Amino acid sequence: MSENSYSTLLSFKLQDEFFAIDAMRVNHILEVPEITKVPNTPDFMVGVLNLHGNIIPVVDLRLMMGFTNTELTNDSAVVVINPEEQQDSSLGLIVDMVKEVVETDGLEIKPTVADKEESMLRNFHGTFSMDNQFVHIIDIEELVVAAEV
Amino acid sequence: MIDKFKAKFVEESLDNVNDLEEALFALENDMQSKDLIERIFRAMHSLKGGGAMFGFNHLSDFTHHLENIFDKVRNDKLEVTPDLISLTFSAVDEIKSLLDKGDLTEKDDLDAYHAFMGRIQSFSETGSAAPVAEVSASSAPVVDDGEKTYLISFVPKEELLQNGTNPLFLLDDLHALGEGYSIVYTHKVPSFEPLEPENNYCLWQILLTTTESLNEIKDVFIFVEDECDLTVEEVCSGGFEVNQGIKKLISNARNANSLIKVSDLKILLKKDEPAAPENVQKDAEDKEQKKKKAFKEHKISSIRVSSMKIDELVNLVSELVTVQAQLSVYAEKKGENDILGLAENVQKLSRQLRDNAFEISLIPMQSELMRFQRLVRDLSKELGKEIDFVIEGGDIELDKNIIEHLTDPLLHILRNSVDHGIEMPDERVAAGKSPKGNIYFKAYHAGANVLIEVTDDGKGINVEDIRKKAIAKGIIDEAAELSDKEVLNLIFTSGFSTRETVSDVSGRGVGMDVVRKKISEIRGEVSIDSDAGQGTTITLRLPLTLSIIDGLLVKVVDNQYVIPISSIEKIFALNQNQLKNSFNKVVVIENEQIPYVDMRDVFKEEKAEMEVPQMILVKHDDKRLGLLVDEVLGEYQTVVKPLGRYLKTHEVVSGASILGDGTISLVIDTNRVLQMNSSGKFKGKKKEEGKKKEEF
Repeated sequence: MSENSYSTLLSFKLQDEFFAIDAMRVNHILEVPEITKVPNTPDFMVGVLNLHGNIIPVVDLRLMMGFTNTELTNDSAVVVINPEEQQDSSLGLIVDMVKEVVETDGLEIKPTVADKEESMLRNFHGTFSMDNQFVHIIDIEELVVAAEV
Repeated sequence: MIDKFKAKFVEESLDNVNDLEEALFALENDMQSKDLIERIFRAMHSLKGGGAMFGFNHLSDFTHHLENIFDKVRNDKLEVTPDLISLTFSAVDEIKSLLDKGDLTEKDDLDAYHAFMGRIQSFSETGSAAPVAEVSASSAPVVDDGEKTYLISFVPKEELLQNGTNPLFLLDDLHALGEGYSIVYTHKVPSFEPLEPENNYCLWQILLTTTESLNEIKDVFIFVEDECDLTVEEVCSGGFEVNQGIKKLISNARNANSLIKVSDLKILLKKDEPAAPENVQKDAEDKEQKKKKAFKEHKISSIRVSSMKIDELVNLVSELVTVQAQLSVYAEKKGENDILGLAENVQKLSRQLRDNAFEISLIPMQSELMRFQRLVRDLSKELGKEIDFVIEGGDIELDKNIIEHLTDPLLHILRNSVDHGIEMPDERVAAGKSPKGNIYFKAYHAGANVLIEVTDDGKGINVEDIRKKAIAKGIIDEAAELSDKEVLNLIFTSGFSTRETVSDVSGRGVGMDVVRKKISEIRGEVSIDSDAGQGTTITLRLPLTLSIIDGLLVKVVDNQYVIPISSIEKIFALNQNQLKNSFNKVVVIENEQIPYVDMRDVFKEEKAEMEVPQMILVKHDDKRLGLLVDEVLGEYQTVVKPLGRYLKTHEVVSGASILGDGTISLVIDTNRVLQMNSSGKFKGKKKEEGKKKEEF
């Protein structure tokens, strides 16, 4: 769980909990734009958005993590990740709030303690503590696989 | 046809030559690099092979010798020296010229060619004996000390012939002394009437390079001393080359009814001093220079561009089309004439640009056909079958992305035809057919589509067998009533493979279901037609291009969708009564029963009463289906973008397009809607309860 090559993480909030992903995989952070619904898809697949002429699917990370509140606020954002450097792997994630970029140097990352039952993601890269908050590092590969419908 | 191949060969060879040059430059900096030597060798090898195949015999010979040198280098029998590299560089120029001219016919060119060839051969030979040095010496013709060039002016009297002297023998004798070049002057020959047949009117000048002394030369003419004026003058030491300068001198002299003056010749040959042997080389190099120039002036009629650049161009054009659509929307909203006019112009231009860009990305299928031919040939040999493979329409052009996706499915279809379709010769004879089977590959345009048919005259497919098997595999219900065509199409269902034992050939894990999947990925369709005993035809219907479609924008509840116009047959406005009275989701229009599906059911949307339901009648093959939508918004030309990998497997939506105002609308894959409808998917798991309520 510690063989990861990232050195910076982007942390964000989902409901009341904090999570982080490899900041190098993040391409854009957007205000939640108009999202076109795609019918006949699971609930977490919110739809597609137009980012500079490219079609990017958007998932509601809150639903994937097993949270139920899908309200959008002024702080809500779409984090666009590009897991494999290929256009077709771009994915937008709806989060409640983007917090900050964290350097992993000097962070004490501990194994993540088993999490929510309802979450589609269970494999975390670890948990660290920041400002008295636990932050769980999401495994992007697992996220990508889970997001495929 | 041959010319076309030749042109293509030349084009490809130029790539090879460029590669060769590049490698040579690199080799100059790193003379030990095995990789570079290999690369050079390979480039030469393909030039040689191609040259021989397309009738560039000189090129082929030439590169053969060049290749020999590099073969030695490759096997460490010869070292890379700067001399070798410069020789190769000039050889590259010769190759270019050979490519340009094809087989040489001009004597001039031939001489230069042979001279060069000599250099290469001697390099190849001496190079192997003495790996280093000696190169420059061996690359030039052998020079003996004391070799001199003389100008012999032989002006016989008119009576020369009368005592039986044949002047041509004298010339032969002269040539026996060394390298000679004879110039004949005929300006003294009178017109026909005063011509005395027994008189000699010709005079000669001979340029002779020899080691013999002046007296030896004069001795040749010893018997005719009295019947001629003879002058023998030394021009220079060493040999000479009959170059343009000398030729010009000759023709000048001929025009002036006089002879070449030794002084002129001296000047001419002195220019090329100091060392005479260099002349040969220099002259040859001069010629090469000229050739090089001629080559550069050669008009470039086609260029090779990396496919990435073309993809980018097409992408940009697609973007432009999108922006142009936005502009049109804006202009219409503003309603100002100026901007409307501008928008129209932009639209016109971007259409032309789009058409052009797409034409660029089209390539003929030809390139792939070789592979197919090989496959059929090899496979039929392996299986002991005799097959005639006939290709028609190989020049049909398709988007390169489509061709890329097409190769594997086509290979599989052909493999099936050879393996399962065509019978063994004895079986064929027993069935009253010629022992030799036929496979026809035919490509042609049909509207906005390209159709590819693969037909074999083999044993065909037994519909009953398919039906039984489909039932056994649980693909269809025993009670299902399907037309023969529908049954045949079952072989495209996943989990269906017709042969009991998976053969080495066809059963490579790629079934017809994969063929269909692959083809539908490029928005194509595949269908099958077969007569038991008569053969099978598999038809692929492909779009010309992937990224832009003409679409009809429709509204289903609050969302906008695009339906490709190519699949639409008609649009009807229905009234509620027609739907209410319809039984089992069929409406009668113009005395025809048309099944329909409510797109709100497909998309599982809330249903409210539609005011004026619109029915879009779509057609695929011979199946038709009406799609019920809330509203038809209009016709749009749209760029279809992929949905990305996360939504790739979506059942109904095949892509998305960005509308003029920047919003996205999804593109409905009507073919899939049709298939799902006929396989009962909408009636089945999705709308089970709702459906029942509606029907009764």
